[in-house]
Amino acid sequence: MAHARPVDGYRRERPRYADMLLATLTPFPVVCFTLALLTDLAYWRTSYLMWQHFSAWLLLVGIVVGGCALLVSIIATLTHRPGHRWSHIGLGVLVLALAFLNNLVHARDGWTAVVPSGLVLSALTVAALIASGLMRRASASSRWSS
Amino acid sequence: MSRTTYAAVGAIGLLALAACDDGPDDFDVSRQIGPDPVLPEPRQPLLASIKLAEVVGWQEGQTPVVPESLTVSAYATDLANPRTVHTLPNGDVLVVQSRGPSGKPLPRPKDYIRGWIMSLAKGGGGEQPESNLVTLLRDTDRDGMVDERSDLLTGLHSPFGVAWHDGTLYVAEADEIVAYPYELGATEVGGEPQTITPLPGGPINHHWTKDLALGPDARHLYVSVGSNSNAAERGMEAEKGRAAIWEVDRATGASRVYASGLRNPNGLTFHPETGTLWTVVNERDELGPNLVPDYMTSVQDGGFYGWPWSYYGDHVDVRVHPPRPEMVEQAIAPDYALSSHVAPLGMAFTMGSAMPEAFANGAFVGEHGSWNRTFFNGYKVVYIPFENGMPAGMAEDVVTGFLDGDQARGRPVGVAIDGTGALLIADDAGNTVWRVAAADGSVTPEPIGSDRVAAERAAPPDAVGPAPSGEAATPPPTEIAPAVQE
Repeated sequence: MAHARPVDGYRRERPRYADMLLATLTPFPVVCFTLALLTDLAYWRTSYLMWQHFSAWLLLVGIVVGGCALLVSIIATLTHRPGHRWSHIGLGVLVLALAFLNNLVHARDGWTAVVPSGLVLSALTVAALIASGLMRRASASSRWSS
Repeated sequence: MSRTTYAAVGAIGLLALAACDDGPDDFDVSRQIGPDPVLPEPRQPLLASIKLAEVVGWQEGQTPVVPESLTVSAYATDLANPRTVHTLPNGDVLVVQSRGPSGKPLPRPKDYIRGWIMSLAKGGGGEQPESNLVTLLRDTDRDGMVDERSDLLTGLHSPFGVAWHDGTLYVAEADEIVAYPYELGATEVGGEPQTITPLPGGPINHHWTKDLALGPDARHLYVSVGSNSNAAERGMEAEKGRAAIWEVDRATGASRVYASGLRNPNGLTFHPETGTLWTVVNERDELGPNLVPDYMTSVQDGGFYGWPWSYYGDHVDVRVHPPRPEMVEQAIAPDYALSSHVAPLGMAFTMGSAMPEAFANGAFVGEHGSWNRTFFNGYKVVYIPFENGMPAGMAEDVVTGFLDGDQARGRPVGVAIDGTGALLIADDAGNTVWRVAAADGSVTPEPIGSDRVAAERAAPPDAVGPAPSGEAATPPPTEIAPAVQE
């Protein structure tokens, strides 16, 4: 496990509560926003309103839990926990902002709650998620290699 | 990378703010009153514009405001959410008090937020008096003051419309029409209720108010059934038989859809001279502050008025999917727009009333008031003059003063002409029935009931002739339309 590795030369034995919390919280927005894209696609193809309802709830849960994750990240960064950077938080904010806008769009009635702007925002949210993941990975590997 | 990120976040924030803008506030509301309203392009802001009036009630001595030729007084107070008023042929007045049914399923996060916001405008708080009852008010000496008051029916299921004929009192509850034996003059009903017909009801029952009118032939009842959604967002399965006016045979309970595509019709009333059914309709929300104008219209047998696929004829609502161009093609444009979001819920013709000349040949409409705009519209009773059975001229504000700044003292719902020929207004937020009479004290020679059967009408032009043509073997295509979904 990563936390057993010496990182910055000090605080080596300190338990990394923030990372443990984030490991629990982060999958929620990732899974919810990805599924919301799929349920949006399903609504687009079928006009069946159940899919639109799924999307709205998935976005809400993703935003709530994602918001908690963001809060933990911010506290971790403010307290200089290793491996937490403002750039990660920026991307997290972007993902949540997109999802929040998307939730407002999904609060419309009927077809225009999804097509086209809801669908586009769902896709952008997932794109931002992927970018965020790649960026974390990149910064993590650069940290190990340096 | 991070700089780009912050820029993106900022851009989204600005976008959201721009989307919340309600647009120019200089729109002249009166351009949406009359037979040919101006209809701006639909807009769907990210946040629906909302402005609700907190209900504060009436202080001692406060009343609504009326023009000089009229006088206003509290006819009955301490009621429990009075929604409609109905005058019986002997001049007694029934006040229907009700609250909407509860337990509506809430399928989306939005529904929870909406429910909470709407509860702010209902007022009260704390202990609420028992509602869902029908109270009888009797003005024995016809001086415009109630002399006797008795609760005729209690413990009903969200009643709204009532009608009386031939020893029977009909009550339209949230999911059925029931009939009670009741003789004029009595202070209690004479027996157990009997179901005439079930109506589309719960569990959703979004627009739950079922209004009722007796046809001029006294054979049929006409009952309004509002839609289960704003714009079909609960699916068309939820709309079977809804957004319609039903015709119900009084004797057998046999019913059919008389007209459809009427989102939330209320205030059913027959024109005393032409015998045509009229209604006021609440049109759809969330297309911007100036869409869609609510309206008043005559109702054609078999007529389809557009909801949910279109409004005012062929103005398509793109939120409803899949589109149904063949339904849009059939949609009838209503007769008279009342402007957007005024929420008309009551209508009464004034022919034969004791109203002054200026208000003696037209209709009063009770406007409950708006929520889906950033400045108020409605919260008043307006008068629309009629000529030759059709609206002719601009609506005029007659009873105002329901608003006090950003607070509401009351909200008008149903209207009726009482047994002396004066206007009654049910005020569901102010828990009062208001009486607006001619200032010179004129009264009608004798009471006229809210439902006028043909024999009572003064030389109706269409009283003779073939029986209503509604019994045709082929139902009009619109009758089954709301139940269809490919």
